Amino acid sequence: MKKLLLIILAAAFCLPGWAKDEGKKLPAHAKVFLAPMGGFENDLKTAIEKKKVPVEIVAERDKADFEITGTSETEKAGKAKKVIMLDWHSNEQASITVSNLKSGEVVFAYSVNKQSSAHGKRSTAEACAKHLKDQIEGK
Amino acid sequence: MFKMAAILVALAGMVAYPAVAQTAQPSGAQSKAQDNAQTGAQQKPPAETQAEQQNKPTEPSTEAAKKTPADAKPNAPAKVSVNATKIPSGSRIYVAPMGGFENYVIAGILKKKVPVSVVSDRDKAEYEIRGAAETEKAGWAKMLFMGSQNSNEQASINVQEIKSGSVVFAYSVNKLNSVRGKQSAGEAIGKHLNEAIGKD
Repeated sequence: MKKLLLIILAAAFCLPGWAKDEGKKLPAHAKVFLAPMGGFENDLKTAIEKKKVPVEIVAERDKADFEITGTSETEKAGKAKKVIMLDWHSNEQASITVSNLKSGEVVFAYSVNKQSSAHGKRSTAEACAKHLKDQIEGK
Repeated sequence: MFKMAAILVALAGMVAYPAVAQTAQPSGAQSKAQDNAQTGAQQKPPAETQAEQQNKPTEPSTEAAKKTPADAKPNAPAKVSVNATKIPSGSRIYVAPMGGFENYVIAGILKKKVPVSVVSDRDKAEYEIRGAAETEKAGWAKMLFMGSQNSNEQASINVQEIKSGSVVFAYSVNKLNSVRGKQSAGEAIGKHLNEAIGKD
């Protein structure tokens, strides 16, 4: 009887903490809205589908539970880079933030920098999608 | 012999730095202590003698005398703790728009596991991070002579308490040849913000 009481007490103490952590995570199959990021949202959408990230992308913000905002920059190879470094690839950097629309809390953020990116924005978008998937799956 | 040496050092100090010598205590105390160390060491225990020597005012050494007030000024650190009060652990922080850099700051905060909760709504926050960032891309000369295509990054942030408006933390970072660009600057901010969070 005492043991049972102890287990119940321990569970009562642990549950709020567990629930708090759950609120800070992006759950699987959550409805996600991709905010405009100067065209990068299209690359990100394609990458999310390619990497099979377990989320549901919605077109309207009102129907979403989470929102992905971010920024992306491309530095195309200049003449100097082409002549001196013999490198035609661009440098890419991007950063995304996933926030809960109800609580306003940021549940995930990731930034990536790729020098001489072989596939341009596609590479950074796929890196973001890959890490988003890892976070959902708890890896 | 020791007395003679002590007097000579004191005289040299007075001639070279008269202002310092005026404020300093006379060298008699030191010579007395040396006398005690030589003659009275048998009567007093060695620990007591050492303590006495440390407590007694002594002639400033030549190295100390050479130090001018300008030299004594410590180098200004990059991180400035504006207020002594620390940001409480678990505080809700809003990162204001900084031309896209805010996303890198948020990513840096989460990556460095800063014990705060980042919110996207200013009304729900207790603190606000404001700042600016600049990027200087590598030019042709840098590529040719240095063989480097990395950019130079600089950023500066300050953390304000929304209610009182007081700045509780400020930090600036400058990264030459930043391998990861803005990501490096964002992570440096996250790392140093960790120090401003009160861990209780």
